[in-house]
Amino acid sequence: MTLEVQNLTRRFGRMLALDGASLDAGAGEVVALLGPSGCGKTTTLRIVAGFETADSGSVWLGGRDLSRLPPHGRDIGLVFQDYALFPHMTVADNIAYGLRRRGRDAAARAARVDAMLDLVRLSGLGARRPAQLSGGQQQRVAVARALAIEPQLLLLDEPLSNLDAKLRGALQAELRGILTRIGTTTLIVTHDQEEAMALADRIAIMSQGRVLQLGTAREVYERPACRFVAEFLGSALWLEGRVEPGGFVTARGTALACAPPSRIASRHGLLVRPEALRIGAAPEGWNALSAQVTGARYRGAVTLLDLLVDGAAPASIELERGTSPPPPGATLALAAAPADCILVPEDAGG
Amino acid sequence: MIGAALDLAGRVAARVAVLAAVAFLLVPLLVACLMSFDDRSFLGPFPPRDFSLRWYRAFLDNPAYTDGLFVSLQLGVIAAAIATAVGLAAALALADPRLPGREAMEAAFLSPKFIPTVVIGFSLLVFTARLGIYEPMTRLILGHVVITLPFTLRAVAASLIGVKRSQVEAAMSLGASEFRALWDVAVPAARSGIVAGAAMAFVLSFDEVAVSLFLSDAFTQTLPIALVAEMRANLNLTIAAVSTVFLAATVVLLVLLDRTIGIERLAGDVGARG
Repeated sequence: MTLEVQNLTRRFGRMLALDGASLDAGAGEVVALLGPSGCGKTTTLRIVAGFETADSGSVWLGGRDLSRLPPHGRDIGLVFQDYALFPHMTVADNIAYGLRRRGRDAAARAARVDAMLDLVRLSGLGARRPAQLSGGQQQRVAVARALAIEPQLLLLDEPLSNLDAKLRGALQAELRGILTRIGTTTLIVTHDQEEAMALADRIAIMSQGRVLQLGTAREVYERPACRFVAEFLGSALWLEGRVEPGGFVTARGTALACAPPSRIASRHGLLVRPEALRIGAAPEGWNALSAQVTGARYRGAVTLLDLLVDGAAPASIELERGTSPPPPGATLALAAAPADCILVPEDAGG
Repeated sequence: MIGAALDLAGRVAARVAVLAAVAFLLVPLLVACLMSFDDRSFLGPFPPRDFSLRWYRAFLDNPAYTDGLFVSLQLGVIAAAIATAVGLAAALALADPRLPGREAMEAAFLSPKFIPTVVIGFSLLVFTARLGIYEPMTRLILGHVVITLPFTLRAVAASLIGVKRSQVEAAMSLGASEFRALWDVAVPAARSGIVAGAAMAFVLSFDEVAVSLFLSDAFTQTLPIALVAEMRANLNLTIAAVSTVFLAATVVLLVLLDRTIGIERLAGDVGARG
């Protein structure tokens, strides 16, 4: 089923939670709604689920307008951040709840519960109570319960945020596997970009009630639509300045070669991902930048060198293994290939 | 040295005070209990020398008491049932933080706790008369529901704290209407609160004097009203016997509740359920 969210607005008192948010997901596609807390992603999810109403805008699922349907009439599977398992029911009864509400007979329910327990690799745990399961197991029960009703859309609210870091990696792969196998259109709300990249086909970056960019992980990381997206994902070196014929001139007057902008905007900045920066003199045709060392942070596997690039822009680069960090205050020469220097509009378009 | 001695003296004094308070609470009950088994036909000095069940027989032989007992039991069960059902519905509604005017409504529901029962009794007498309700049992049920409702509401509300809104919403997303979701998810979690509230309502109704005094008539009297009336007419130890029966019934009810749901829950100190 395709999901289309069009121009949602929602005001809570004086706060504009949603300011014309739009996004879409194709049939079977997994889309992540990614943004900082307070960006409106949870409100969007609650409007799609039917627990909140939009002031304007609409939600379409498979060509059906959901706006006037109550939550229980929408056929949407929802996995809550806290899983929201029913503590007084067994795992099997939790999974069967939606089927019971749909009037399926006992045999059909039992068969579906077994299939779902199989899907999430919890076979044999049907008689347990939720409190007897680990956090990761509870999370999978919540997924199984949401999928048991064969929903037209699956909504996941911060699915892995309640798990510790070690477990999260393993469950990410597990969850991605489940989503691929069932092929249900899925919307994931998260503030964790790694989670979004690992689970989703496309990512919608949200800020201040609007979706700024919707694209694959590669698109949003390598061709961000605006400064917010560029700086929100990963780490970024952001140089202010102006576009000149054939390149970019920073506020300090450093001329840099780069590809022409993908979109014409009134103001642009230059984005360089720190992993594209090399320490040392620039080879022929590369851009040269100077930087001042402000500090070093030992992180075990890597040591991060904090820099102030071109006199104004902070950045952190990974130091090569075995090299000792230069002292704070030292000046470094940096080099970046023109292909890695990307012109990005300051503000989101539209 | 002096500091330590003062410390010790303070602790001893505190213990004596606690013991005195406990004695003050329990000794009169024990005296009444022992007197109820007194074999003397008159109200003699404590302690009794011979024991018998004569006052218990007198209690059972007096139709004013037995009728009162029947009325009180009937009233207690009906009032507790209604107050529990209404309290449950109100607690479920008030548990939704988006409900407009929630705090004002909660205050209104809890207000009978703070209004003198004499005032409630008189107001209801006037009000029911105005409505044309003269049947004493109906009036009594109304009055007892009003005074027990705050307790059932509080007991249920306390046990609903452990129910997360997300659980109710999960049930709704799975196909349950809001009512159905509350019934399937919130009510089972509130079971201990419901039982505790119902028990408390029954005990309160069974003990109630002031409201009943206004709303009963000569032919429909609760047991406490019958007791008061009898005490005025002829003071004897039947009252001690009835008190002992009252006490025993309350203790049995409390023990049963403690065994089933725990006394802490009954007192309203309900923690979140995991």
